Amino acid sequence: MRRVVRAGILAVLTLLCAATLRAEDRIWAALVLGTNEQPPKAVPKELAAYAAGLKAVFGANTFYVLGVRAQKIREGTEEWIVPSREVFLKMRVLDREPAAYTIQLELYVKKRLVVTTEVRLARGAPLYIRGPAWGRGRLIFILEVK
Amino acid sequence: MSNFEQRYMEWLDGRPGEKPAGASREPGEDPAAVEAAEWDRLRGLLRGAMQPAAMPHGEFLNHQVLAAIAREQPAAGAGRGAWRPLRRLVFAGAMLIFAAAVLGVFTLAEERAHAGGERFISQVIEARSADPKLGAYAFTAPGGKGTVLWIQDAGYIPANEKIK
Repeated sequence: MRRVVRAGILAVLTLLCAATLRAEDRIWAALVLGTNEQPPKAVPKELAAYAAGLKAVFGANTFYVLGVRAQKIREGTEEWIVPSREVFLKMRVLDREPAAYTIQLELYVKKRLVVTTEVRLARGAPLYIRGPAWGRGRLIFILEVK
Repeated sequence: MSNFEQRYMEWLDGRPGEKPAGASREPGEDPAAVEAAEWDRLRGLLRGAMQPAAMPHGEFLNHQVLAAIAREQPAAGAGRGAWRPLRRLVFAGAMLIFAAAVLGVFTLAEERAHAGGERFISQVIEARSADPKLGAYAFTAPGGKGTVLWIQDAGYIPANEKIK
């Protein structure tokens, strides 16, 4: 009987370890300002992997990182991503699949809800959100599961 | 030797009232044969006199002795037993590492199968705006790696307002 109990405890501990390993995914988010400048400035190293996509989609040649945040993904809880006084992005994880997460996003500009969207965010496939204009540039959100 | 001592020795020899061995020897009798006969007689007397004493409650005593031996046996093996918990701990740790490795291999294999079997891209399932003037469109980024949520007229923030 004691051996059975010990084996059960071992199995539970092992499953917990495996679940912890499985729950190591993080969502990486960045708030970027894209502008057109002459001459263009070098792309920040945080955006090196996204530079080609950003240039092709948004037509900007210079990018500034205004904020970066990476946090663990927790199902059901609401998180503020790149919070600032003027622009907020609220995230809630709705569902989890082996290689993707279903996420509800709400974009607030000046405390006004601009858009609500439901996104299936795959690991390694970033989502770009075209935000409001700011000064001479455009605010862009980048979200990626890493 | 006094008369008493002589008689006492005779009694010890089992010949009360007899003459000493040397005195009873017949002339011409072989001394070695006499001595062997004396030894035989003495051996017989010793056998008769040295019977083990009858032990009252022998079974009970035997049981008590066996119980005492049984009590002492664990104490004798205490040195070896002291390593038992450590051995169990090492065994449990090794088993945990093994099980975690096996599960890890399965988990990684499952993820590889998902990653290799189908190429996942991010998708915008739904996008809605409270303001009907705003438009939200989704499309795949050039290169097919990312997805774009394009919000038309998302607003304007003057440059003199801080974002961070």
